[in-house]
Amino acid sequence: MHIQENEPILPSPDSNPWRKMVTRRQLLSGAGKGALALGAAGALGGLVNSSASASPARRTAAASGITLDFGVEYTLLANQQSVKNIIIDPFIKAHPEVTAVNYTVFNGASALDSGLKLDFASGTGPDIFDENGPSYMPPFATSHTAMQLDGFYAKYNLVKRMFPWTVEPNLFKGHYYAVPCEYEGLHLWYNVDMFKKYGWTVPTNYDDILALGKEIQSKGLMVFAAGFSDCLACWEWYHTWALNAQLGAKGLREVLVGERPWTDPTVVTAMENLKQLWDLGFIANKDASAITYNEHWTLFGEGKAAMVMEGTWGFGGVSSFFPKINYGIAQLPMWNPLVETVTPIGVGEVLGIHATTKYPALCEELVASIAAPTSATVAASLAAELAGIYVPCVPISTSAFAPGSTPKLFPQTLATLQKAMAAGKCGYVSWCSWPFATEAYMYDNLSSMLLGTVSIADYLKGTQAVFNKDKAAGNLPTVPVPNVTA
Amino acid sequence: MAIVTVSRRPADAREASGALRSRPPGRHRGRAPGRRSGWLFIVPALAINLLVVGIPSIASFVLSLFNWNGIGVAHFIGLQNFRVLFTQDPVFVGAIVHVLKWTAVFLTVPVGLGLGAAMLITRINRFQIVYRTILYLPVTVASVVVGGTWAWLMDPIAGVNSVLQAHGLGFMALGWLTDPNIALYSVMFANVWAWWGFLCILFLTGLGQIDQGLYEAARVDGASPWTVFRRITVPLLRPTLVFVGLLTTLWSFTTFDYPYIMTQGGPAHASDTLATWMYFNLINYSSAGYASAIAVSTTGFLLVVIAAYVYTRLRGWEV
Repeated sequence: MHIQENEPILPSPDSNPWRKMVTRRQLLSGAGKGALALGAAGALGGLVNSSASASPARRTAAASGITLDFGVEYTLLANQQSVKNIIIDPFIKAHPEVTAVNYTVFNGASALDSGLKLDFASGTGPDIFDENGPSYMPPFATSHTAMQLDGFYAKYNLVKRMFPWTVEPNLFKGHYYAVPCEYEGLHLWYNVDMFKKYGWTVPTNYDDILALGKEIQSKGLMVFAAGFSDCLACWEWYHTWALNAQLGAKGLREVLVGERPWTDPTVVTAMENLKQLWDLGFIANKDASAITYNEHWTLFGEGKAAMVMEGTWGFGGVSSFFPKINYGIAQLPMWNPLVETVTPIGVGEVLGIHATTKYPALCEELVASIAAPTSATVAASLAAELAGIYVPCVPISTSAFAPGSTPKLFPQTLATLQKAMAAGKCGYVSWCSWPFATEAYMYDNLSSMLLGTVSIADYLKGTQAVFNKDKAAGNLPTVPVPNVTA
Repeated sequence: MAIVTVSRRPADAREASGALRSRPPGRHRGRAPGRRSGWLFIVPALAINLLVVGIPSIASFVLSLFNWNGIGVAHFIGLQNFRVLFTQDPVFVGAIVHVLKWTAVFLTVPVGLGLGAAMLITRINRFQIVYRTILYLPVTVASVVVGGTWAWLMDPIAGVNSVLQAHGLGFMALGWLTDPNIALYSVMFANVWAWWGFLCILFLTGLGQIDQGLYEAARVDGASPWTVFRRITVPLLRPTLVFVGLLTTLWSFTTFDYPYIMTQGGPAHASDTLATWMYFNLINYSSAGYASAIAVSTTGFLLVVIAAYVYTRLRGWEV
């Protein structure tokens, strides 16, 4: 079953009861009943669904059984329903003392982080919560609002069961405060039919991109679809690609741990090459800052753009945005022939537990069932239905996916990522391996650098300054060591 | 022989000379009837104001002296946030320039449009209410709707540019929201579209309070329209103009919705305002202390404007 991005929620016009004729008396009577119903619903909501604002400790007194509160960032009902079907319903069935697991829905990634901080700072917050990646967890760890999970990792043998590449970034000052519940890789998505029609080949290096880009433009098409007007942080995909492609995993790690400065000539070259692609109009005809995320998918889906750089989370939108397009997925081209080819892979979603929850054991069990399910079928179902949200960081064989249950190429892409992680042949993604403030500075100012209002030198000098602060504050994340020679 | 006793106490002297009686009632320092009950009436409003404005304002000021990520322990760093803000933050300096431009545009374009339209409408007797309604309509639409709609219209793929290009007018298809030199003005345009109708209604109200006899007398004396405007309309509309100017300046310095909805302050911070930069620092950088410093600085700028207003009033200029 696919994630239905545009699942209809409203009834069809024919089934709308308000289309029938209503007398004034009926209207007034209905309004009165409606007001009563709203009042009753509000009162009931206050009792049953108060978890969004009540602290875990206070909540227990209000409910007859145990109610757990789960803070999530996915707003689509289809996603919430999938998690309910695959995880929550079986969990409640196995624990009769638990009467409900309520969602506290934060509206997207930014709202998730700020909302959680607001909740926790005011002494409330959900028992279990999503976060955007390991880079976002240090504030919760240092404020002791996230539970230390060393015992949990040992109890569920997570270090051995999960991919080390996804586990290590969660180590903060020698302890675990979050569990990875999803991994993702950046790839080159391309329109197979278009490539066939024009006799193009998939680019594998920087020169290929330059040559192909000009070809694509000569046909009046966009080279790379990109849209960040409603997702400022999504600029990060491009500096992630540039740095991996130019420096390779080994060189990039040296920068990330502070052994090589951000002003190093190799980093400068990466940014110069990226700017060249921008200046040539290869990235959304230089319009990326005013194109929405959905629009960039639509451009690719309607065959107006030949390629798009996208993460594995993109599989969640396949059925909505390009059901007709014959898409292919390839390794992102490396720009430097001297470095080993790697796929940028990272953790884009982690789960944490509120330090003051009254039910740590239950929370741990629920988190384990999402992050590292013991059933291959459950793991495959989560990955297939919630690409980009919950892709358990445990081995899942391609055969675990029921035929026709996933978008095209999803199991194969996942297998490629698993193979790369198992071998340590991975690159880094900024939202996982960059320190928090450095990452924010880079994506916040990338468009300034590309548009030329800030020079490359100043951009990297600024990055270095923020990185120094992050380092001095002890905010550098754990950066796994890749198994590459260059 | 009359004995004259001269009191050395100034209050007694003033009382004897009738000075106290000549004071305006509002400045009376003695116990006025109902003074206490008057205070009692405004206590609830004052308490609410203190709770939702006073305390958060003080908290913001205190937070601006700390390095705080929004959760956990805050570290006192004195005025360092302000030092960085004014000496090392080009986006903040850029945001100040942007709000100054914003203020300049909003003090002229919508004010001119609103005043011009109001003067035209006052001359119309039939269907005036229809015109008023039409002009006021955009004000009633939520900024998120207006901003979102204009962002679509200025979309480089699906907006007016595609129509212009389809009709051979590609040279007019500018990067409304993608060109750093244009984006701020595009956002202003959308906000002006929604805003000037409100000013028009204010000016209509102000114009309605001017004695029509003055205009008739001026006409009889052969005054030109420009003289009438300069010598009658503007002076008598001054309270409205000052109010609009003050309101525009205050709102320009704190403007957030349109830049955030249409460009998120981009591209390349070209449309960042003080409020969007404050929001970004709080939400994306998790720098609550630094964001508070921006808020306090913004308040400081506005206090200068308010002080100028109060000063003019104290000088006796009736506004």
